Amino acid sequence: MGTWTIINGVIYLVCFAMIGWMLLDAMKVAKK
Amino acid sequence: MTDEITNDPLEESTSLVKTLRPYHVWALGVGIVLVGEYMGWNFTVAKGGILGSLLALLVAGTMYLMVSLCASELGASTKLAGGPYDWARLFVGPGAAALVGLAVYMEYIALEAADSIVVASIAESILPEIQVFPITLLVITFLTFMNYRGVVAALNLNFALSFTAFIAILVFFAMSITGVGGVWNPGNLISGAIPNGLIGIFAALQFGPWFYLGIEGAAMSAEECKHPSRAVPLGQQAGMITLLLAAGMTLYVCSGLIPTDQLGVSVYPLYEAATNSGVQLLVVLLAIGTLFTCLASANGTICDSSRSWYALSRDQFLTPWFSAVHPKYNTPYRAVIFTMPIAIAFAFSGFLDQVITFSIVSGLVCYVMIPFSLIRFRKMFPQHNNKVRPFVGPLQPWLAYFTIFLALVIMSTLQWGYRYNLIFALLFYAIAYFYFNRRYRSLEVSHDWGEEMGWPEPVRT
Repeated sequence: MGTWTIINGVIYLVCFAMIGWMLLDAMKVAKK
Repeated sequence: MTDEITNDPLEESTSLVKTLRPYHVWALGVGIVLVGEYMGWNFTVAKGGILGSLLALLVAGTMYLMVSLCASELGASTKLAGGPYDWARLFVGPGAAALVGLAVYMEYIALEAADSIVVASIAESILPEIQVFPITLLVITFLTFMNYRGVVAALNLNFALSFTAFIAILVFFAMSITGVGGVWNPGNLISGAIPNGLIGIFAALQFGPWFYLGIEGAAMSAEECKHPSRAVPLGQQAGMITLLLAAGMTLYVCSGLIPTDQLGVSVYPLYEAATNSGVQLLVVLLAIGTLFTCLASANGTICDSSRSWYALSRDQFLTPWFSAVHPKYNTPYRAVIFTMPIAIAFAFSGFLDQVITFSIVSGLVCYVMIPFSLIRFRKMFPQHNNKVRPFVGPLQPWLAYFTIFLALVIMSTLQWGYRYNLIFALLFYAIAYFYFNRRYRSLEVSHDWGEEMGWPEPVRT
């Protein structure tokens, strides 16, 4: 696997982490 | 004991927090628009030459100056987050309100998608191995994340990005007129003045909005300003002056440094002009400026589109679910998150010019409705006092009538090149108008002006 494939994959992971954090926080707030 | 008097920090609140200052309003307006000086405006040159571009700059500039005067007066009076949407709701009716709310939302979401695509394209041109899709997604998610976490942090970021990008234009212009920034060739002005005759000059008007598209959004921060009656007019008019200066300087440096036939088709004209100047400092500065201005624009559009969606939801044009405000960050968090899938869908369509044309038509629909709202506002509330109208614009409502005329003229020029986009967009908004007008006709007479705005009852027109 090439370096740039890994870098592109890491960028996707960072994006999904941010989306996941926002959704989890929104769910936590909504439950209150 | 304290539990009895302290609110739960994770309990949803119902209103936005008032923290913004005039420079935030400036950052929001200029941040969204300045990208238009870095790219896009130069299509006016392809249609109408340098003279057509200058005319488009002046005609569109006149229209936007008048739109921002209308927006400042309405924003300072109503102090509501929905901006053009709220003005149409209060002074025109529910159908017009929904139409404007939708148009503002689409204008900014499409712009956000276009900005993200451009950032990804720049990244790919610097590092060819990197892919466009993940960078586009990264821009959208990171800026949505910033807006989710708080409006002050998001707009402070916008201020830093926009200010740097504006300084880059200023430095380029200063170096150019002092002869340090490359050889400025006046022959370009003569050879490429009017390549397509008078029709070309007229057709160039359709790209004139690029210089200023979205400045009216600065007034949408009114509900989150500490002193909206001062901050909105000050921030917005300062923003408009900044843009007029930036547009003039951009046209000057680019027209002398890039031959007209190349300028009309350039993707990044300011960056290309810097490259042609041969000064390494300018190349780096304008590359940074191009990147920063795209990020600032995408960031500002998320802020504005989410507020428009929030306002539509709060007034039950949409499900009230979207009108929740985050208890900790004081942002309309569900509306902010909802900008993400729509922007991603637009961005991944890949049709940059189609996306931007839809944004321009949506903007022009707003530029008809904003002055129309002001005309209605002046008829309904003719009183000039600090409570109803803390900021009084000059020469109204005549400027409002002239603004509507200019917006319709610019809209008509889209028939050269984007006829079907124009027809589709207008049809889309016509259907939206009749649908919402029919569904929410009852809302038209339900305003309690005293309770909602603290105003006396309006004069019936």
